[in-house]
Amino acid sequence: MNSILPKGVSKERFAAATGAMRKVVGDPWVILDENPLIAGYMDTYSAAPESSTAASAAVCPGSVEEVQEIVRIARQYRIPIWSISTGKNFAYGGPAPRTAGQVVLDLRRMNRVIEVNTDLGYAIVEPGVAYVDFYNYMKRHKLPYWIDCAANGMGGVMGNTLDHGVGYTAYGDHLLMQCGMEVVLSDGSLMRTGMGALPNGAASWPVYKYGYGPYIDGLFTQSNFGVVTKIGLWLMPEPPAFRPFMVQLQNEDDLYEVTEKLRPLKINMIIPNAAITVHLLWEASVYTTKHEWKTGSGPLPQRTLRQIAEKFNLGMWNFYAALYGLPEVVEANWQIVESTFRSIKGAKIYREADRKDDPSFNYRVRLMRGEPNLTEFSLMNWVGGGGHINFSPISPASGADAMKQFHMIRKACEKYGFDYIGEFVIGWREQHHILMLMFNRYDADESRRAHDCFAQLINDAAAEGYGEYRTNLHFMDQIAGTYNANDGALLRMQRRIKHALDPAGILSPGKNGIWPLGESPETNS
Amino acid sequence: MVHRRELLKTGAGLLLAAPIRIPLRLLTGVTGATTEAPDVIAETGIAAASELINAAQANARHARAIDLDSTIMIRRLSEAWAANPRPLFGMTRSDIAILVEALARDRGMAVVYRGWHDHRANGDIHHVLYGNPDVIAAMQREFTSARGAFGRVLGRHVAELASVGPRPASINFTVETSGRPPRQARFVTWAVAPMGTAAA
Ligand SMILES: Cc1cc2nc3c(=O)[nH]c(=O)nc-3n(C[C@H](O)[C@H](O)[C@H](O)COP(=O)(O)OP(=O)(O)OC[C@H]3O[C@@H](n4cnc5c(N)ncnc54)[C@H](O)[C@@H]3O)c2cc1C
Repeated sequence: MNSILPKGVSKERFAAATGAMRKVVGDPWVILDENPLIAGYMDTYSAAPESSTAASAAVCPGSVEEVQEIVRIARQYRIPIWSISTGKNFAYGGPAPRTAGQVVLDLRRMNRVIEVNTDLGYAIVEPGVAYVDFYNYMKRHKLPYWIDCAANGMGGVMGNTLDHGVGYTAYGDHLLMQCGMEVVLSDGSLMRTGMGALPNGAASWPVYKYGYGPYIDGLFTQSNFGVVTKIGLWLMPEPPAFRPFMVQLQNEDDLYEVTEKLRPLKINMIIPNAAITVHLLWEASVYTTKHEWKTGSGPLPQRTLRQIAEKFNLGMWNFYAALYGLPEVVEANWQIVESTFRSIKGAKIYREADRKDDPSFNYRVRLMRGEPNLTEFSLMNWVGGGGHINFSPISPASGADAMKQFHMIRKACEKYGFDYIGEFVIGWREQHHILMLMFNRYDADESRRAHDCFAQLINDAAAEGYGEYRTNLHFMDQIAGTYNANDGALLRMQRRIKHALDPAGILSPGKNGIWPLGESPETNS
Repeated sequence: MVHRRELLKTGAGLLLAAPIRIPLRLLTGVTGATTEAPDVIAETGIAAASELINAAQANARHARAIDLDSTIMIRRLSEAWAANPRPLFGMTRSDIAILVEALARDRGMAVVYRGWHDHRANGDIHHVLYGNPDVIAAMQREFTSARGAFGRVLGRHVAELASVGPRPASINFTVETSGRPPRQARFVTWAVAPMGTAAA
């Protein structure tokens, strides 16, 4: 008998629902909580107890038809189901559902690259396509396109895109490059967005995003209005020339100038990729761990940061970007880029050949050419113990905002006894500031401090007009609560849409603070 | 300090793809459940790695020290387990543990054991163990009598630790030792085991 049940669902109803689901997907693909495999759906790395998000079961359909059937059963029996694609949402909750008892709808078995169109440069993929599989597919078929992947090479194309994830080539804004979606709605019906709504519109589906009428793809991202079963995405043609580079900055205050200098280069598309300005310790974790510099808790002092920078030939900030295109164009743009960054006092500029044996430079280069890898996970070794949650506020790409956020976040980290380990990912006009809050999850006090630090940061950021682009399961409501202009008009509208599209409230309840009507974090705790 | 190299220094990664050289042995675990001899890996640079590897030789299919890049390691495991998921016991830093656990789910394997071994400044070692309740209770007894040499204890029991048992439980306890804490990266121990179903 299952020891965990969805909130308000009786043992009998749960057994009847999971029994019906078994008939659809087959016995092995309904994993109940007595099966040791259920532990694979835990969020083991957050600052809150695993039990608070422990799934009651996981169901793994193998086709769109099976997804439709499972959704119908969930609706019939009022069982909450939490959709994941590859389920590697590290730092944001992994494969776990928002609350204990929800059933994970694990779509990893649906892992086909359905089409790659080499004339038009797009692909259509199913949910379970991991970056590494997609990359291998492109290589195997010798296709003249690059993929764009997250630094978590284990993640997947769809889950990352739906959670508004980023990569590092010129196609790094994944949702921007998404075109066409297929969605199972809460009544089990199947819908295609955009041109895909034409009975014979398949050819234009992955090339024109907007179709006719309201543009709705975005509604199915960071939300719980449907289960996405296919997406189209645009692919970057393999460029004839690729020039990655690093600008090493000697002082923490140089963050201001590098951001100011970068902005016009981004807006004018001289630097086309998602460029990053990375703090020392993020890079240093590829080479060393905190324990080698300090025993006991508390952040490392500035003096030690300087020693680390010197030992590993790193800057206090390290900026990475790349140029892509025809060799002549790359060369011309390089002249602009080089002279721009050279004007920062003390800046050192490195090209690929200058840092051949540097593992942190190497993995950045690989990411900037869409090659999945896992090197960034060395961050998990900084304190050891594996706890990590990402705090990710957005701001305009300005030096003043970057400095303000850096000081604000570092101050909070130090107050709670943590190192600042952060980076800025700079898009066209905005920047995602990512704090990787690392803690030892085996230490209850440290986990509690990490949780409190994160909660404070949300409020500090909101007070300054900054909001987060995405978050961990445990902070979804708090962050949704900060987007509260006009008396919470946005969230109220999202809840109305939720009720209209999913009146039974079965799809991913609580995702990003969107609860079904009559439900709230409190009724689900 | 451990540098993970692009190239395998010890050839340990081959362990994952290598043909079986030692005949597969069937062992009987503490709980009486029949278990398959696991592969065992330990990262070079961890002080307890060699005693683990030495003690595990008799109980493992292969037991090797490794120094390799996480991307390469996960790719090899992924390929090996796609065809033949096998129990694996590890003593590594946290990144490898997290990645192996994530891969395990994709390959229909369960996380059956986790251990955290924190060397305190006074020489004590604080252990947090998760796994088969009988096995981890036995570990607690043996760790306490072995004092600092818990790697050897783990090595002797890798087969039980890396097998599927009853619903896992957690315990934590501190063992007094007179040793000085090693100045090294913190590390974890873990085990994953195939369930025979639910692989993608
Ligand atoms: C070291 C490290 C590096 C990282 N690097 C990056 C990075 O560079 N860029 C980045 O963006 N993130 C990064 N992350 C965060 C995260 O690990 C990745 O974004 C990862 O790709 C997300 O997991 P996934 O792709 O498996 O998505 P999933 O876990 O499958 O999905 C993510 C969420 O999207 C929703 N969802 C998924 N599928 C569906 C569906 N079919 N229908 C409806 N909703 C769905 C669910 O709410 C789910 O929880 C990093 C994390 C770590 C620890």
